[in-house]
Amino acid sequence: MTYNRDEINEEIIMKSLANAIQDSTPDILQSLRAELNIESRSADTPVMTVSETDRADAYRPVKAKADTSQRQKARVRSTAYKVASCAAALIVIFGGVSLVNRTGPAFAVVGLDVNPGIELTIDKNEKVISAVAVNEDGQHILSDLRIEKRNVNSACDEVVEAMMDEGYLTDTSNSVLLSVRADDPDKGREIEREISDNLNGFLEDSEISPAIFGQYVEADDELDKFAGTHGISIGKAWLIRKLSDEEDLSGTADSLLGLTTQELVLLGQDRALSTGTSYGTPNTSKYVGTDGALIAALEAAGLSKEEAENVKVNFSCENGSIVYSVGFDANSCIYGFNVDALTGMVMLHDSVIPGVSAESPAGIADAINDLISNEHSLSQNKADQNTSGASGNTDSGSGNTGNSGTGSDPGKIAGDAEDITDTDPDDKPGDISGDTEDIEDIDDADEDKECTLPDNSDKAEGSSSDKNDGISSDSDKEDSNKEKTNKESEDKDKEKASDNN
Amino acid sequence: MHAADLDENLIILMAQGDGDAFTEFYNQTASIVYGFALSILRNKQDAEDVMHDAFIKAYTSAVTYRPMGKPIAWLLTIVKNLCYNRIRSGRIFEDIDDYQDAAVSETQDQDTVTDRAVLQQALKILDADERQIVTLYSVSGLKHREIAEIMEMPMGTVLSKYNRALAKMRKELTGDGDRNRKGVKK
Repeated sequence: MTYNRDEINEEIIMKSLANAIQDSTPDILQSLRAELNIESRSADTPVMTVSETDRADAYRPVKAKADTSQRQKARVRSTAYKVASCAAALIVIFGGVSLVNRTGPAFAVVGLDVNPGIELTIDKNEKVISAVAVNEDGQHILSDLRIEKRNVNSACDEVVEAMMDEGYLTDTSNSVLLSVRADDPDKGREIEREISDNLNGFLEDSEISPAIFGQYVEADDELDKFAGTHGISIGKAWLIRKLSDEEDLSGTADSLLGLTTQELVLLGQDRALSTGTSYGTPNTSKYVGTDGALIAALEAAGLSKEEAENVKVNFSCENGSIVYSVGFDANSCIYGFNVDALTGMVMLHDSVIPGVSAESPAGIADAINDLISNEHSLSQNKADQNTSGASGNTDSGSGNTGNSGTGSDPGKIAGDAEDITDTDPDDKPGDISGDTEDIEDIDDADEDKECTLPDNSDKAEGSSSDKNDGISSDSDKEDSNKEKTNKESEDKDKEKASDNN
Repeated sequence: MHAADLDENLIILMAQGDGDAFTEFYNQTASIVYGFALSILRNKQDAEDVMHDAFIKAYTSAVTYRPMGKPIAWLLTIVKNLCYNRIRSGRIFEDIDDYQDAAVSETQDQDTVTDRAVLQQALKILDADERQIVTLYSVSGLKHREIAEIMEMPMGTVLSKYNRALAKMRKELTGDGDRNRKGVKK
């Protein structure tokens, strides 16, 4: 069949194509409704007409439930719940569709993240309705699996087994993030517990010692949007949100996105953030260890291990990498360092504040933040000192003092108590860095001590393994180092034993 | 119906097992789903199978849907994945369906015959990208920019493929294509 050239224009072609497709589209609605067990409705029953916002809220009772730990959120959500209730009532009245006994085939979603991310939608009988890959690795895993209509435990076993076969789940990358979301929180938690128990049993029979990090997820629009925007599972998004709620990780969500599931689980477990059932510990053998991190930090501070008190080392995140956050008190000063977990390099150094206890993570975080924010002015102060030939006393109006430790004149970081008092006559009570009482404490503890950092600029790029050499230069400290190394070795053995347990 | 206007809340309601929302969702998208599947698979039986699977999947996976303002993109991704899974697994018919068979011609009016001839030519002479682009453009009402986003292609590429497809179809439908082919053979 041929047509006149003038008759065949773009509009006709597109219209003809659309008509042909519409004409040939089969009507399979009834068979679909039957297959999905959707009850038929009369043809004239209107589709619900309440406003879209109310309608969405009405069907999101989980979102409307109050988080009792946060009063402000509770108030907002309480309002949302009222709106939802009203919307539900409107639907019942005008839509002719009751919310009571409204049950769909999808009852809960079970997320499994290793690096492959997979979400299984299950029904009330815990049978898998569908399996969806969250990323390419997940697609790869699912491509050869037939898990629909299987019991969720059996399906999870099969998914995890495939992840082991494909090399995603190994001795060193042994973490499984298990996340469950459901409209019924109690049932959702029960399902999470059951799957976690089952997975642990299954993996224990394998060669891998797993770390299963279970969580019950209370999803909301914001979380959905975050997960969707970044192409990650709801479970991963939930864990990142929990981590970024941590005081010292506040506002680091973007940085946390750069971490692997294993690293996120490591942080989550280190901070006991699991909202479900967890087993095992993530493998950390590739990291320098807490002792290695402490050694690096002590070297940067120019101190021996014996001088450090209230030592606190925990995992943290900086610029998308796992770091050890090391804090300790020494000589009436607080020291805080971020040490790269893989290389042992000191990433954030020169954190020295007099008169704050390293036992308080908030104190450390505040101190570090103060130092970062004052870095410029401190550098300026230092330049002023050099220009004026002063003995090293700083003249910061706030009383905060610090030193990069990498300049040509490492010298003194903080002035002694008298200097600070003299330079900060308007200091207010409660100011941790300039308070007179604090200063008196410092004097009482060690009258002539100063918060100092050595000049380690030539070793800044060194690894942790060669940092022992830089801790002290005098013979006494060398002996101390030997003793310390032995002790550290013992500590490391203890840590390994603890990890194994 | 303009596919970009597809109500996102229908999916949210479907996640709660709302059958009415599913019906509405089906009515608004059935032709788009079928047409898109047909444009990839070029066989009506395969397209119908995928259409069936796509709606089942959309309903059962609605709970995992993350509102981002593009529900049609979500649905078409499901369709595309199902089509490619089917192609990969070899579960497809090889032959292009004849939409101009005698039975159809006898029972339909001239417009319908013309429409089907156009569809037949589109399936026959266009390459995969061109088929998907012209199908989405004609049946869904999506704009080239929106199609470019869904197909993850630069808009310029979509436009040039669309224009090339139109030129090919015009040529074929007016007989120029046949004449050219005959000329080559000679």
